Amino acid sequence: MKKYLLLTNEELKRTAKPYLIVVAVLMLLEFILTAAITKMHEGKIETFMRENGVSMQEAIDAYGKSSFAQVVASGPFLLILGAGMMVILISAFVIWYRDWFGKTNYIYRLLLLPGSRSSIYFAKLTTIVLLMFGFVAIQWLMFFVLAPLHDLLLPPELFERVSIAAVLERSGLMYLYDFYLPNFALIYLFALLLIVFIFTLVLIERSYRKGKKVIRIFLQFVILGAVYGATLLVINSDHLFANEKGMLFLAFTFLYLAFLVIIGLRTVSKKITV
Amino acid sequence: MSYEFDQRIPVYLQVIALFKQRIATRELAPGQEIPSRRELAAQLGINPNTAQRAYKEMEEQQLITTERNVPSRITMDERIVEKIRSELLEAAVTEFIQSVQAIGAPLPEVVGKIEQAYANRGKQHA
Amino acid sequence: MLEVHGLKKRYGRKNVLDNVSFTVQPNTLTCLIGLNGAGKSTILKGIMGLIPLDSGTVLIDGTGSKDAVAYIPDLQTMPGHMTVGDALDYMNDHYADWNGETAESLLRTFQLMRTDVITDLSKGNQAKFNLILGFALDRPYLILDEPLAGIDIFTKEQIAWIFTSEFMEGRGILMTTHEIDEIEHLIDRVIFLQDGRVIDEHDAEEMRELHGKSVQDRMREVYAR
Repeated sequence: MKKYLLLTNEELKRTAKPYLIVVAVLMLLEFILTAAITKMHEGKIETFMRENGVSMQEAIDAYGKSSFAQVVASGPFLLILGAGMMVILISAFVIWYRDWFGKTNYIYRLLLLPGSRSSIYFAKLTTIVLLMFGFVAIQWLMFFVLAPLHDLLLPPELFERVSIAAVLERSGLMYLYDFYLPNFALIYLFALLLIVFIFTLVLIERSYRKGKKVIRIFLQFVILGAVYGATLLVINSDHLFANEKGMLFLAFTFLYLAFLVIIGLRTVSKKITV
Repeated sequence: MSYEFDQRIPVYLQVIALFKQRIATRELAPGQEIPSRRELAAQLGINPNTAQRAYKEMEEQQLITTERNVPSRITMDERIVEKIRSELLEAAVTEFIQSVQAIGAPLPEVVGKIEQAYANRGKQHA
Repeated sequence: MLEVHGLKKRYGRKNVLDNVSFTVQPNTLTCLIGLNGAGKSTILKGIMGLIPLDSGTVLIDGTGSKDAVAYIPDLQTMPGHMTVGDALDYMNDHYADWNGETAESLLRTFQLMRTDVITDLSKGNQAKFNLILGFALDRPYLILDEPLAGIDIFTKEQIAWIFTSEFMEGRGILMTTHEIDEIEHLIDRVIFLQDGRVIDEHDAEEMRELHGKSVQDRMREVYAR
């Protein structure tokens, strides 16, 4: 436990600076984008009014009012969010690879430490999960800053105020913020699965050579396909109720997750090589 | 500063030879305290195990005396000191004669050369 | 003692280690010698579990536990941004047998400061720093991989000094090096490696006493083929 805590602390310390820089950049982009989209809408209304010699109300009838929900649901904004998710996934790779290819060979130090090597695995996993939740939480807060910004930038006639809930729904982001526990668990379990899958691939890559490496990685994809193929097959049969299907899906996911974690732990304990 | 060792002769023997030389010239006086094994290793730049081995051997040859918790000392026994002097002198002479034999000079000439060299040495030191 | 028995490691078709066996006695300095690619580094990493071995056993004072061995590689292993002080604290946090006093003493002797950023140190200073990370662990066995490689003369002397110091006591040391000249007089035991096999093993003082040969002499003989 102590080793796990020390290592998690160390990983977080190492990741803090780059992470905060990325977060700051994304926040800045969202800020700028919100202002830009908002002003663009205003611009379009004014242009329409001018070109067609109509009143604002008529322009609004044509173009509609601006809402923050539109901003968030727009392509560029979703792109930024997507970039954020990509950063997390890339971090799942980098958190391992930098220990081999960084300025120093920290992997030597990690593997030499007394105690179980599982702590290394869980420390890195914890870090990525925290980074992910960090993003999600910060994004949540950003909505509460950007929505008023949007509203502030426009004259009252031009915008409609929307609830954050509506924003989330219209942009498709409600899945990330579904506080109904079973849904929340399922969604973030998937996210965890993705991260753990990446960990498994990385650890295989770092432990085997050439041919064996490729085969084993390929095998992981085959297993992924098989597990979900079988799961979906079972679930789409007619014999089950909806919530039973949900639970079965959850159960399969848990088992597969456990399987991936076990492989990862085994690999880092016995097969990994500097 | 470490002593330069000949890599083809056991280090521990070279350490002992060094001690014998210093004992013979009285640089190390009878009864004088000598460094601990650890200190000796550091001074000469050798493995502490080698120092240990040298001391053990010297103790067996009665060149030094050791007691628990007390620094080791050079032997007080004058006979042993004399014996060492004698040994070193013999060894030097044997070596000298071996190199001189190749020249085939008669003994008086050799002795004459030695006396000359001693006289000169005296002048240099004066 | 540290016993290594029947170590085997293959990379594809190549036998990097072919049935390597030897022992390292406590309180001795044993040197693993071999040309580049002979497998020396692989053996050390294999002993420490940094590279999985195909077969063979490593026993340290009768157990398979590595807790009695400290490893000093010839590359930097602490996270990049750390200072010397950070690293020493890190070691203290993780290791129950970390000796802070030894670390401080060596820090002074090597003239390194806690505030030095590790990756900004010169190669020589990094090597000395690595020595501290190994020697400050109160462990009876120490494994060093090329401690003198690519280092200037003066730093080499400082590093060689540690093998004559009190910090050597009670330790069985296994090291690999190409710089035999610098430490010839410090070596107790020599193991010659070629193509992943042990081809010769002897006591250095015995070789001198019985055959008048230095380690380097014997090396030339053994590798003359």
